[in-house]
Amino acid sequence: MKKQGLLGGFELLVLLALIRLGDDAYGVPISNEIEASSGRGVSIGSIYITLDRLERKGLVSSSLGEPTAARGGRAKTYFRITAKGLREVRQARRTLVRLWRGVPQLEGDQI
Amino acid sequence: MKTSEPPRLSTSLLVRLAPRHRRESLVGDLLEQLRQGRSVWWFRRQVLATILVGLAADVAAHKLLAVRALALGWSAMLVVYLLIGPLIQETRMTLFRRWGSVLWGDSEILRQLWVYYGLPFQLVFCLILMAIGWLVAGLHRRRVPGIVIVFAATLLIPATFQALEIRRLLETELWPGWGWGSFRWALLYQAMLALVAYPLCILIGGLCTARSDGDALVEGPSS
Repeated sequence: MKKQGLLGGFELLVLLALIRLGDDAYGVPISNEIEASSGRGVSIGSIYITLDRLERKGLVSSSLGEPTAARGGRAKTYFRITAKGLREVRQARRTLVRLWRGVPQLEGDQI
Repeated sequence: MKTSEPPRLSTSLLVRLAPRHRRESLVGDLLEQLRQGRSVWWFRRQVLATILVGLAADVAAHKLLAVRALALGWSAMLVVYLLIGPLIQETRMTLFRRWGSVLWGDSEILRQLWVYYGLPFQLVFCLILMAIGWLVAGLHRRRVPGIVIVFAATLLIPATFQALEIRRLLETELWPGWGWGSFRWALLYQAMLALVAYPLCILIGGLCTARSDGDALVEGPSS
């Protein structure tokens, strides 16, 4: 069986945004969530490319919503993190915390 | 300036070139954000980034298809160069001799268009390039935009060498007595054809087969 690679930085941001948004996770709120947290603008196209990759890895599932007038009659695609995705996020957190621990340069707010 | 009306050109590009299986949602998301107060410039930047990121991901995920498309496109160009090129050149010279005095008479502009610029034959060549773009796109229907753009971009490699050679020729001042109205403009014209017109013809021929978002919902993520 092919071994799952480590999550990339942007993949982790997208998965965390999905967890925070719950059932209302589609392109616009995901983009707003990442922008608000990181303070940087993101391209909605790159969010969808990342979501596609995560869906192929089985970490995310998607479903189509109803079209609305505010969107020019176009439907939303809702995304949810899967159980496997949640496990990967927990694993990434554990790895990061382990690496973080005991590094004096990263103690406190100073960089 | 803030408006809820999406720019027509950007929207048109988006519905043709954005990743197909997510096109419907992508367009909807961008329209929703525009109507929530984002600027038209933000919309244009998002469209450009979405198209570029989508095409790059599509080509990266289908490298073999891209290589096959390049091989096919360049083989077609080689066939044109070897078989049709001499025919065009011969026809051009025959017509030049036969119609030389009749066609332009005393008109210097027409004479230059024919002799230095070979305009009617450039138009024929442009049509052939459009046909090659259409052929490459037709054989890669599911990956049209990315494949066609990569193929058109490869034309810039020889075009850059040609443009550098033309610059070298212009700098050598081999024809000091000739003004800018004659041979030099013809050389610059050749450079512009190679750098702009030929890749554009491939794009036009190829992208005219790119479908808009009518079929966006029926296909799943690319694998």
